Amino acid sequence: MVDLRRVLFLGAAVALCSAALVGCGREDAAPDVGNGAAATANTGAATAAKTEPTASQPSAQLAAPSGRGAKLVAPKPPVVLVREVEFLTQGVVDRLTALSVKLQIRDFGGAADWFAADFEGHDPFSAPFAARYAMPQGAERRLGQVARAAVVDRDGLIASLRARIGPWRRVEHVLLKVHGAEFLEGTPPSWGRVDVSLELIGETEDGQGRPGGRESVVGRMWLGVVHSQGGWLIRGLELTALEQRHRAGAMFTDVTRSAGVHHEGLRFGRPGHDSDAWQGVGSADVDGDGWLDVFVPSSERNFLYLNNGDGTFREDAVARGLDQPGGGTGPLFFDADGDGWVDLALGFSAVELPDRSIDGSPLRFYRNLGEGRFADSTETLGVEVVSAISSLVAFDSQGDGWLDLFATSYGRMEIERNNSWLEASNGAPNHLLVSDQGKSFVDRTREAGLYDTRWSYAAAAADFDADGRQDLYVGNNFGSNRLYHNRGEGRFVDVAEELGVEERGNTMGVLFGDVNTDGRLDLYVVGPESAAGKRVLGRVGQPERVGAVRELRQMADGNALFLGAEKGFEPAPDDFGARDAGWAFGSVLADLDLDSHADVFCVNGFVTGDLPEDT
Amino acid sequence: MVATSLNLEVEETHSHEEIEEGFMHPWAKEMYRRGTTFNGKERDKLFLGRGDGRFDDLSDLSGADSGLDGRGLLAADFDDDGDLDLFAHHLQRGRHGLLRNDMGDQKSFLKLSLVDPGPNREGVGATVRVAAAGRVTAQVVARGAGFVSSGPAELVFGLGSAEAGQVEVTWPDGSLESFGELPRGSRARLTRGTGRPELVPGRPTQLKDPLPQGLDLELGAKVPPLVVVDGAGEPVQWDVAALAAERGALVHFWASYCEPCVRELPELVDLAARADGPPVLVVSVDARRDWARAEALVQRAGSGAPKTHFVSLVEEHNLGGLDELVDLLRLPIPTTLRVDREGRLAEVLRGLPESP
Repeated sequence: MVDLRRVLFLGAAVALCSAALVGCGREDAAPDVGNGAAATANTGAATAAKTEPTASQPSAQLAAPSGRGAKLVAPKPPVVLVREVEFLTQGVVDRLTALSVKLQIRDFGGAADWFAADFEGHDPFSAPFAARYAMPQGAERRLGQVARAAVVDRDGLIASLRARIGPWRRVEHVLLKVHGAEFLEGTPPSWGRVDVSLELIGETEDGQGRPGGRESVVGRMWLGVVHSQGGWLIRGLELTALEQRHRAGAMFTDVTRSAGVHHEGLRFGRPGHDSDAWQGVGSADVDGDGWLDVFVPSSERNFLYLNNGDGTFREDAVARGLDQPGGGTGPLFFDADGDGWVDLALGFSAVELPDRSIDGSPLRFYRNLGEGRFADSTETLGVEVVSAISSLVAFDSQGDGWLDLFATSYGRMEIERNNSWLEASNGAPNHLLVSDQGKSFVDRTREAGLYDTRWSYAAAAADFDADGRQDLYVGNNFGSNRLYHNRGEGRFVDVAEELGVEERGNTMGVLFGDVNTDGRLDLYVVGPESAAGKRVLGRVGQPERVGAVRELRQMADGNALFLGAEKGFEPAPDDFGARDAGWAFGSVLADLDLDSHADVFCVNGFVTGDLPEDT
Repeated sequence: MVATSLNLEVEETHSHEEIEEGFMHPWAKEMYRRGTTFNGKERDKLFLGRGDGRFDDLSDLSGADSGLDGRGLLAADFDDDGDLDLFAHHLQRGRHGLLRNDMGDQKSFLKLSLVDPGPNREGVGATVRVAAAGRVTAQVVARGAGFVSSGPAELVFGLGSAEAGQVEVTWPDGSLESFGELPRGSRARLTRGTGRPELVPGRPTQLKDPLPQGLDLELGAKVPPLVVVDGAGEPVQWDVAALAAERGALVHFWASYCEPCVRELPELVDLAARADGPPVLVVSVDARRDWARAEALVQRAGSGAPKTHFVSLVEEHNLGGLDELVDLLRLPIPTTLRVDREGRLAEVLRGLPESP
């Protein structure tokens, strides 16, 4: 009997930190830092073996009766305890992640070790393709006829992989991702079947040594896995979907180095770079030459990249008085005093300790004296903001024409952890600083009805209901979001639940835009998508979209879209197409391809370490 | 406890044991210490909108799908070519990322900046609507949105195939002002109260082309000494500059799994055997299990075949050497680097040079 309370708690934990279930408890070897891809792969193989749940298994397991073939039956009776299934799944996930690395470096001989000697299953690349379908931007997709895939042995599969990606100019990315798993009940574990997606991305060759464009092969399949001494082995493969996509060239080009903005920083976790402040980036024309410049706070120091107007930048933070202190976050350019020059506000994380001393730096404000010469004018703020600031937003909260500052605040994990996964209330308070004609600011958070100690990461302001007053949406972690409707005279009322946009989860980013070209503002809310979280919740056995499961599901679900309607907002259908963006943080909603439709770009990824396993 | 609509009680707080186990917070520091990856190596996402609330995921074909751990992000037209480029801030490794937008045709856009004579000079909070081809699109002038970032106040509207767009501004106080029709490719300032757009001349340029793929050293820079290993795993140091002093040198990267590489092996052997040609350094990026196969392929390709060397797996071997020259994970295979007689990186070739 599954302990549902435990499961729900675990689901929440998994959505946030799936390593919590099994990963963090195990004793991993210290990272064996090698040089080059092969070293990484070797490390992966070694670690995958070490992290096996059972030390040794008789090799007779290889002769297990199932998990082989191109039609994989479900194990009966299966392991039902969710925690146990996830534990076994994690072992397979680790193995497949290491296999991904093998394939990325095209070590086909090495990849064979991941398959049982008596492997039999579909060759995914033998499935013939049906007609081509046009995609935006000249891309095309072709769907594989999976029913016509050939059945091959291990050598056949490896040869097919070699033929498929061996000729590519470059393998950009290989990912085998586990979406679900079932294992046969019994100790020790013997076999199971795993629902896996395969993603191969690379650059092709045109046959004459010239680039042939970007190509991706995306498949979905059941893998039959058997447990053996060296770890889980793949013994069967049943292809369920296959798609191939191609475009003649990339849509974006990485020009970081050539444009002069490259910076190789400290690795996260090293001394000097261990803060939870995520820093961010701001852009404005700070020196009035008509070109957009960029400010990037960083752990060690800050960078001000001035645009040379010729496709390159020069870094000038020291001369402009903006290089220190490092560790700031949420850089915000806005013209606070209406003099036509953008000023800069920069958040920091600061707390008041029991002895009343301040640990960390309060909010800072730099006035642009003209042409991008900045002076630290923090004292003219007139208020010391001691909070764990994450993001900053400028908006006219009072309707008096002056831009006010809203600071979202998170919390300081190392001092006090979130007191709930579902509605944490012990974060640092958000702040509304109301402009006194650009000369100084007054803290009116409580009077405005904006005082809140949820763990806030982001906010966006807009007049969503076109009543002539600026409203504010605030995105929170470990809880629900708020939509503050501006009622005039500097007072706000939270209408998030009334309008159905509270989106409980772990919101990272918030954007207003118009995605359905109806002239109304829509709301795009960015949050992490967790494959592990979805796996666990998928096993709970409750309808997925009701009650507590719905709330937990939102946590693992990724991004949400609310379409502006006559009265408030309507949630977009589940399959609106821009939901799964991984562990997404920064995002933009903009017409990137100039086709008159708003697009989305999201950067993502929590922490990439040296070991290849992942959740 | 939280009572949910399923009438279940959900435990709200973690126990001390769970915290003591170290899996809660601060997560990342502890995970980093262990070298653990947690939702890492994720590819950044590009979803192209269809204009009806739905999107197509083209991340895999975008060229913008970095696997770095992204945090801040903004879109801005840094080269004034009318399309939006992207600036990202990453948690570690290459911390700043600039992506040039290569999709635009440099024509089908309107680039608009608001000017309010009052204190809110940039019109922050205004909603701008552009009507074209029977549809209306809205954008907000925002300072601070997304996550820990603030993009510029100017707005870029795509027009698709429409020749012009009708522009209307709802200022932050709700007052509506029409600015009439603007033809595609216009850059304009919209000053409150004038009702007339002021056209701004464009100065389109292009963010500078990147180094050849997989290369970490600027063209023209001195090539550092490289340490590779021979088939027995013994380190061999090459002073590339010294080797190149007379006739220049070629450094050829290949792999035995790469069919085009194998096809051109006879040509490679010919090239290396020429007395009047540049010295050829042959480096295989094969995994160790394939070293013998790689060596045999080279030896079989002709008489006087050069020795095959392999990428060293020992970090100390190449501190400042190979790592400074190429990024092995991004290097197309095969790639040949031409080093001039001054020991500088002169050219990056796909495969072998046509005439040495």
